[in-house]
Amino acid sequence: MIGTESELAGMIDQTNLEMGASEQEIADFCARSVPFGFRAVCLLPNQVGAALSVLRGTSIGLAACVSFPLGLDRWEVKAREAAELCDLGVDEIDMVVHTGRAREGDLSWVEREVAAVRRAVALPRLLKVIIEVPVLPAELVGPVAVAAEAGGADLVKTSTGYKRLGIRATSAGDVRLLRSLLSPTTGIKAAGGIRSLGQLEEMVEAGATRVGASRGIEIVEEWRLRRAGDPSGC
Amino acid sequence: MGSGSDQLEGWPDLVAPTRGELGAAFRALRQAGVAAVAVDPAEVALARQLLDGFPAPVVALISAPLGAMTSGSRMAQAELALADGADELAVAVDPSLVRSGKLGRAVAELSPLRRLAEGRTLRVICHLALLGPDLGAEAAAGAVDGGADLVMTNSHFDGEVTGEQVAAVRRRVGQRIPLVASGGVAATSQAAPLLLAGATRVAVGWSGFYGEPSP
Repeated sequence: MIGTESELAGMIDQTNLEMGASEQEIADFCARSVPFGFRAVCLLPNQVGAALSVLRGTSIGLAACVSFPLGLDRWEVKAREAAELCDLGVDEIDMVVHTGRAREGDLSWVEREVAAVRRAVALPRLLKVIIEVPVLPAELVGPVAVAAEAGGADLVKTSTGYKRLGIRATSAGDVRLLRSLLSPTTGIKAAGGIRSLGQLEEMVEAGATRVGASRGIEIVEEWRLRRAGDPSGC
Repeated sequence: MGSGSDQLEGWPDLVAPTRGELGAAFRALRQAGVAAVAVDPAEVALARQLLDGFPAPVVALISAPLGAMTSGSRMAQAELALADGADELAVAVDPSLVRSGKLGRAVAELSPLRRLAEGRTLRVICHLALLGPDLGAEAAAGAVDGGADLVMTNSHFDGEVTGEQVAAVRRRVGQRIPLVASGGVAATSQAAPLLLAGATRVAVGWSGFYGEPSP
């Protein structure tokens, strides 16, 4: 149950992963996001400079994706990209596992690559690991999530949510499954097709501790409208 | 105008392929006799092994499909791909820099890769479908000036290549270098008009070599 607007915004990674977005478009996106107090803005690696010019000095964190969106990199490259992004000033890393090895059930591969990136992302920076649930065989979702956790993930993230991959949206069932298997100290980020307050609440009820959304502003505005219509929040 | 296998390249189009699926794809490409095989960087070593004895070059996709990697990781990716046995590199130019009016910087980022790939073919992916024919052709011209040996129109996420895109690049860079029409080509039967428009070769999704897709 989300009690306040700041609690809501504090769960949202306001996301823009548009390929080829210009520096000005990213700066504008970040500037629009600042007043809403999101937990973080989540972007592609080449947008970090433009984002920091706006976000530095604000309370909003900056998250950047690694090996996005396919995860088809060697672990050395993922670790290098994460380290470079941390040096630039990123607060959180959203890495994609090698989706092909994950689909094979090569759990030691997944754990090893997550551990390699973990070494490059020292706390208090957070490491989120995207396991791309929609492409995994159902019986492998749990094992892959547990391997990511064993490798050092702070949060396991359901999906890239990347439309160009043509994959289904994240479901509350995906989140419930992860919640039932992962340690209570491991967070869950639901991402992929979450476009409304109702969908966000469904994910949180299922156990998500963070939500990635490209429509974070609209979701908070929906919350405000609801509150305006019913100040008790009931 | 038809399209022979020497005018076709294999291009990854599977989401999260397993090693078994990659093996099947490479067998089909070998059987088809394609002129080059593009692969994601983590799979170069496997491709090298499975394509042993097949003469077509293995092309490692660098900073693809989005062209959004940091400079250091892009270099690390290229170095490892070459160490794993890649014959050529296909680097996606940073489309955000191009759209930000910083084509010069986007081209300058190619320089270390050009030096690294000394003596090998350096391809540059120019995102024509994303940038539009005019800006995309500008990016292609910049890439040629920056040392590209070959231009590819699109990454596999940009959108579909068209004859208009191919013609735009040809108008801008002339016949100086080979041009591969790439992006969204799912069947070998789609190649002919792109070759007619001026492409040297056409990159067809791996699945296109298993047989024509169902209507």
